[in-house]
Amino acid sequence: MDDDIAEIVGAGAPDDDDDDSPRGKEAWKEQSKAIERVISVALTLDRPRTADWVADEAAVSPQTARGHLGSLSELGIVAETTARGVTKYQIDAAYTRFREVSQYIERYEKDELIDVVKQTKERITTAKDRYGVDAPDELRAKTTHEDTPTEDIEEYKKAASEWETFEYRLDVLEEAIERYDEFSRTEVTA
Amino acid sequence: MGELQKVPGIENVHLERAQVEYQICADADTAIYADGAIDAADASVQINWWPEHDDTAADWYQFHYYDSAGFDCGWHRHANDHVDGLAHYQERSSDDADYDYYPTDLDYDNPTGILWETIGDRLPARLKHRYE
Repeated sequence: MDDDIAEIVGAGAPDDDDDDSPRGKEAWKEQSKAIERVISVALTLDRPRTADWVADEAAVSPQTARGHLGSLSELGIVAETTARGVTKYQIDAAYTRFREVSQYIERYEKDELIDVVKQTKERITTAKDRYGVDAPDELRAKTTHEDTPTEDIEEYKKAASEWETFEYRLDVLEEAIERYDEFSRTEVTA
Repeated sequence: MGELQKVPGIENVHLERAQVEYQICADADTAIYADGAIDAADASVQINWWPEHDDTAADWYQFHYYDSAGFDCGWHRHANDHVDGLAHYQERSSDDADYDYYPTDLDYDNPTGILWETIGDRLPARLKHRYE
């Protein structure tokens, strides 16, 4: 790969002559307001992050990030925790759950959701059979067993992670099916 | 999905089922996207995001491009045998060629930022370099 392409695609060492502005920042800013970018980043905060981190990721000032995160916290969309004087923000678990259930109901027919539940259960059964364990934690624990071949460790980790995703999704899908008639399409606004 | 619709030249954004997963797919208008540089009739992008349940680990993803001239490329982060670490860029000139792989270090960590960095900037730049 020549140096020009390497620089374009983010491979190899960055060009020292460039400024520190992230690629795509200007295009993103042209198409969105500061509050939209903060919300967009906030909705993906699956682990606690500082306002400064959000500011960098959302291409806004730390002060702007802090202000909008405070508002999102008051609305119950993000949870705010302070430890040793450092405040961090993370998407609120209950809000995430409500949003995911609502989105499934809004986007899919009930029969489609039932079909995905069936397929998800089949994937979980396949994982149980393949790895001879009953839960993702047990599979992850196998990665540290002395008798686990080194070449299998990455596969076990990946499979455990996928399995956890299936378990979580199954739970959300089942709630979506249960509440489908209650949350008709026209009533869903989230 | 809404964010992808904002990228100039990206249209028909929709969800597609891949096994039990859903992925975001969209078409790229080759007369508009990458300032019309793409020398192919059709082009599309596909995005997958796999949350990592271990809080200390990074989520996995795939932001990939295909066109009817046979070129495809993408930014991925997942376990692989091709580069040290998870994050990499891969491309090939046709679907019967082997991929070339390169380790990458993107500027953004969040999904929307990565979308703008790849689909909104690096990809059109790569396509202009290839086709112009």
